[in-house]
Amino acid sequence: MSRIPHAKREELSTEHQKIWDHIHAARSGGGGPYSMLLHVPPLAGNVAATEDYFRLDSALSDADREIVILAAARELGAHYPWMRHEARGRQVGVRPEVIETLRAQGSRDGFTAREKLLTDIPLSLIREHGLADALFARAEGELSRRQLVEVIALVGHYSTIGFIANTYQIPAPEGSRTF
Amino acid sequence: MSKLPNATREGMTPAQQKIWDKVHEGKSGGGGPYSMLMHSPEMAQHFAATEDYFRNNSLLPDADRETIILIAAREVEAHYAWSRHEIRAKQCLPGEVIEALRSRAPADKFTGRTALLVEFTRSLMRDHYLSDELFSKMEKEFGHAKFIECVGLLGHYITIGTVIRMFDVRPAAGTKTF
Repeated sequence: MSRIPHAKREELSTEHQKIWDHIHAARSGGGGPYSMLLHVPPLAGNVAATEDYFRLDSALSDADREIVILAAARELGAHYPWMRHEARGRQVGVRPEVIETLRAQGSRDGFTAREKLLTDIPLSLIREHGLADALFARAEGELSRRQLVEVIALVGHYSTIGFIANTYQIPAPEGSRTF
Repeated sequence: MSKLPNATREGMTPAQQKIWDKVHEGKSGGGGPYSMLMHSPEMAQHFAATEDYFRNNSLLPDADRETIILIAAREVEAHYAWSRHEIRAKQCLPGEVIEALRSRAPADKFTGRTALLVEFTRSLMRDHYLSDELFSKMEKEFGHAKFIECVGLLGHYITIGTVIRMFDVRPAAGTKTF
């Protein structure tokens, strides 16, 4: 049970119901952060469009994207996004060892250089809001300019998602394992 | 000089140039975080749309909005964002509040709604969490929709602030920030 009731479609204007329908058409369940964000439909629409960009058109590969999101969700302690993206991470081939290590916040010594980089970036940004010069140099060496900008923005986007999940204590479905 | 060269309109596809023009029409100068975000124009347009929403259609009064943005910019140490929003904040916030935000004064140095926003913003940024008591205060003060906007605005400015800090996007030379 979240801290406030979910937004309800029948209480929205016709125009805002279109935003609701668009958001729900692309998402199963309809819960999660959008159950709260849809109290402000135009904002929910913008956040969903950003999310859709990352999911469908990003310069990052699916696995790269999901590793960044999982590291961010775990660091923020955001259960609902973790649950969704653990499932998606498995679908797109994120190694189970990576998922379990992030879940346990364990040593990442067994990660590949790219996995290490893609988890170092969100951890550093969330903890310190920046990257040390050496980490920035690694990121610039490994990622294209567009990918680098997208990774930074993706971590920011998941701060929004994680903050909504945490502020409203949006639970993962009963019985699901998070961390 | 930022850590990456600014994105430039030349070299973009016609579709990307349309995005460029739309993003820049609402922004003076065209520098700042979008000089970096526009290395991915198709992505940048969505952050610009969120920014436009908060600027033009937000349910939050200007004073609340600028308070949240200044606190976020200060926490993330995003000098460029601070410099732009200090100008806006001067139109809706008392000078002593801006100075206290600049010096990261503790929450008990503020009063009323500003004190609540300071506590809310710092709690979410530092602990990623709101206590039941703080949540109740925010909900009572703002109601569902405006409270959600506070959270969304904070998340958006963490993105903007992080881009600014990470790529070292600087304000004009000689600008006083913090």
